[in-house]
Amino acid sequence: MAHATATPAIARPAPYDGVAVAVPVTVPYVRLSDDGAAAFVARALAGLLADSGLPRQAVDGLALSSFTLAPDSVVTLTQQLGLDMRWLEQLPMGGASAVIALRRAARAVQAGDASVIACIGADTNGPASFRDTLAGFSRFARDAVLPYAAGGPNASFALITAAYMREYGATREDFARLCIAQRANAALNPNALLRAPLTLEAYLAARPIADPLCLYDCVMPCAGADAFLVMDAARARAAGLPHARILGAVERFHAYGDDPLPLRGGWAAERDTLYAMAGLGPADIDAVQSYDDYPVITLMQFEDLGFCAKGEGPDFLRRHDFSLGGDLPTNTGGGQLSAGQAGAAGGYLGLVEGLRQVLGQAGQRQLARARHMLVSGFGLMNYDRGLCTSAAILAGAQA
Amino acid sequence: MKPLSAVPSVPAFAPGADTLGLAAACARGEFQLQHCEACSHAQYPPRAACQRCLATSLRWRPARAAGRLLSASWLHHSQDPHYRARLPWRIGLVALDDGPVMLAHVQADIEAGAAVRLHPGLDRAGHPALVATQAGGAGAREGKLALFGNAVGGRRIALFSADAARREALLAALTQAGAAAVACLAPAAVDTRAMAEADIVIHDALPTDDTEDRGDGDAYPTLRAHLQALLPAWRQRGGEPPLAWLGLFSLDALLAAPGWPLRAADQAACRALCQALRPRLAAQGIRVAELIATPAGAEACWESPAARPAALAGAAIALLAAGLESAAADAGAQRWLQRWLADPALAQRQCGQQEDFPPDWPEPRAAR
Repeated sequence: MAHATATPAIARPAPYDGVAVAVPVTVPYVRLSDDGAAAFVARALAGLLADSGLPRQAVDGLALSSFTLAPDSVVTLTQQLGLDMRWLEQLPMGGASAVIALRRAARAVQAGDASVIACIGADTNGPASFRDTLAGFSRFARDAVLPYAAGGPNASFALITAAYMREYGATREDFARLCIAQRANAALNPNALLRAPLTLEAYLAARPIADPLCLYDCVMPCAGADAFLVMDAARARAAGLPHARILGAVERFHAYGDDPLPLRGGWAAERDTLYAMAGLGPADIDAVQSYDDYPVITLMQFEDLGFCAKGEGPDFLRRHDFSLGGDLPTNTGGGQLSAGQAGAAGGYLGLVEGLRQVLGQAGQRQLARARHMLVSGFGLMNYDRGLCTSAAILAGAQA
Repeated sequence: MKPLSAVPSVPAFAPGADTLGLAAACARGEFQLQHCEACSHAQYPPRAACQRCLATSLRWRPARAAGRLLSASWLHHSQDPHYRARLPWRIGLVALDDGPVMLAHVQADIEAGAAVRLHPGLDRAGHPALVATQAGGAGAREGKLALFGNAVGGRRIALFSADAARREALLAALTQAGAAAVACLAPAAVDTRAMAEADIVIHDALPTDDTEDRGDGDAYPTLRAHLQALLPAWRQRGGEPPLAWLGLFSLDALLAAPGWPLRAADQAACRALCQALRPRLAAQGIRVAELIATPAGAEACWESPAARPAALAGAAIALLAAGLESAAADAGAQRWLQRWLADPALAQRQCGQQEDFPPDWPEPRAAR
């Protein structure tokens, strides 16, 4: 409903005690695939079982996000993949889905509805996948966006980026800082599809896609999957699985719906709850895994999650270093802008990378200091704005 | 860039049935928004319920076609081959004076922050296409935006009119508007080549002035024969697709004048044929348009004089240029068109109120 987004007293959801997050899995990304989404779900699940050493029947819950699974659903997949499940969830929140899957699964584990839940984002990418996803996306997309020269998310983000630049004075050089730092981070991520260094000159000279966005501002669609387990912490300890804790997690939908342009997101309405749950503030965060399909949205996450005030994002970009050796490492595996966007897995990428970092499993790109990881999601660009926002703070079990 | 003939003549993505109300308004150049009948809230894009009060009784009603450009972008890529061939293409978000934010096509030279006017129109497939231009300015069909219009300049036209005065007026207006060539079609012999080559066909189906005998309307047989020849000819034509077919009909096509029953039946048949052909031609990027005029000899019925040939010709050129599907040629026709749109049953009863008409069936007339 049309409404002014309310900011009542800070909500204090129950803590996520007794819940473990474990086993970060990435099914290597490929630019194009002849396989269906179900094949990537199967590989992700196989990866979770192999890396955890758990028997197949131990996994009794599945939370899934996929854009290209139709006409199948998580339900029909149980039959296809021979799964006997006590708990199922399908999350259509696009890039916000991973944190939301984490929240739902954690509550199910706390309640005893399931004990080990596989959370998977998986998509394929064929020559027609993107177009099919666009065409079936939503009523608003079908009626009011696609007939207007069919720009898709590039066009929507171009309009948001142009408005942000106009309102707050951001420049393309500012956005370049993020894109270049993330590309440097990707050099140490064997799963990233784009690993060659990006220079400022190359960034600025890239071909235009939808002005002001050029090639290196836009994610490359690909196929792949990212996954993790949410499980009972006692069980994780018994199985000897390194695991992380959820210090706080929030989600918000269609916040600030009356803003003519979406220059802030639901994170701003939920961040006090997030930090109150965690007992932390932005200064305590060691690294950020933002949702980064376009650099402007990372900028808004810095602002709306309290790293700087609204409108100070451009200056914040100029004063900080987002590379692995920087003062605020961000998207430490290269993010979607360098790893590629495997559909709904794009939202899982950051959570899985953040999990690796807090577990000390990030290999060559392991941060020296990775106690508190902020992971944030953004999803479902519809008509003029994204409708889903989410964020979580993870910590290693010993932190 | 590919030659245009290799490019799909219509957009790849069609909007859903929720936009038909807007399409019907845009087809006659009118801007409307979905309004809540309970609380009057205006909203866009169209949806199933009022986002303010959740009522589900919604109606498309006229709205102010004005607003402010919030943000704009030149697209250098598109998922739609129809637009991909025309890149870069400019779109933007407009904050409407009536509240909602509308994604629209945007004129080349306006920037974010500008006050804009929204021009209702149709894309090549006949779906709504709103174009934002500088407030107070023209230009909604200039440059690449000419795609949405059917201006006669530089185009080959085939023209049929059995009425000498109207034919001359149309010829003069077409020539003045820069038509590349005008072929005049005969009523009986069908000139398939002229038809196939025509980018735009104008068919004057207005009744001849038969004030004295009020006899048989005879526009339908000619119209039918012409269309039966035209459609296959257009299908076989190579190169750029044709643009538009424009029919000139009298008010009788909408409302049956009590004193002119055979004329009414004849005109209604003409319009029905064209309305039925409209969607299939739209799927090929061809606009089917109608210009409604007050006919000669029925002033007492329509309470206004017949459309003058020069005015009729000017209205035809303007209708084509704007890319619309429907317009009135004169003030009287405009008044009746509005009544018909508001309430067709009431308009039918109002029509002919002032007219004296013979009590009997009109005498059949010898064939001309």
